[in-house]
Amino acid sequence: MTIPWVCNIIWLEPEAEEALVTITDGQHTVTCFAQPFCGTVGDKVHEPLRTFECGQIARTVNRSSFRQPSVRLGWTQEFVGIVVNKIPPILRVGEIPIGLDVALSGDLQIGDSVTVGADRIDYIK
Amino acid sequence: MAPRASATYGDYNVVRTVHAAEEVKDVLNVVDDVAAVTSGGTKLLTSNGLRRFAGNKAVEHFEKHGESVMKALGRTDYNLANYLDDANHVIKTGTWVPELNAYTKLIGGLGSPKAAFVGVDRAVGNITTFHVKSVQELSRSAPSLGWTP
Repeated sequence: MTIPWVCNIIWLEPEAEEALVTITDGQHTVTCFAQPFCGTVGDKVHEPLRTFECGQIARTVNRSSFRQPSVRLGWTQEFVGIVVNKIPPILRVGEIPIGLDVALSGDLQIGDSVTVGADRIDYIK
Repeated sequence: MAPRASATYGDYNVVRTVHAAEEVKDVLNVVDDVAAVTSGGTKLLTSNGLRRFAGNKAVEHFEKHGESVMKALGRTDYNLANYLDDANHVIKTGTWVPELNAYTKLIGGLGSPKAAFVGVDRAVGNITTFHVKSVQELSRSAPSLGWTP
């Protein structure tokens, strides 16, 4: 199993320790908002990323992926992940775990593939 | 003799006594006495007593975070002036978070619990960021708040 790592950092506001942090598992890549952030490229990511204002959760047959929404507003992200934990709700995109800020509906089971839209994905170190 | 805080606004120089228990950050929040404060050539407060971002950072931050703040506050229309006003409202009425050098204030409305978050410069006190965070994140990164998700 590969532990995801930080592969790129764009500092938005060093004084505020605010950055755009790109995380990868070697196959999937996602760019997150991080504040406060004080890491470096190569840091391992052990904790799940966090969605902010998550919505539009639906079961899908698509494979795990991150994708740009057709109309991108602000930090909006869409991704397809596998349910690996129901309470707290955690999905996995490849080897990248993402915790949701809303509960999963009761009919979703571990192993289900779901598509999720979120206003932002946060990396909280 | 009690220490004194000096502030310059235009041709006026405002000097007021700083009481022993008063911290610098509290002095900066006294907008009635000080119209503008200069520190190292950087003006912290505008003429109406509001704190602001350094340089043109306000525009950059508004472009990055304005939409999510607008949405979180349930607004349908939002501009840079609103963004700065709201940041200052959080500073004046929110809770100081020493471990993050920031002020925060809970936001009501739909969706998961969230809070407005305004970071301030450690050296001179101007605004460094204004965005929305989840209460869950703040409960973890700022234990002094005593919040539970």
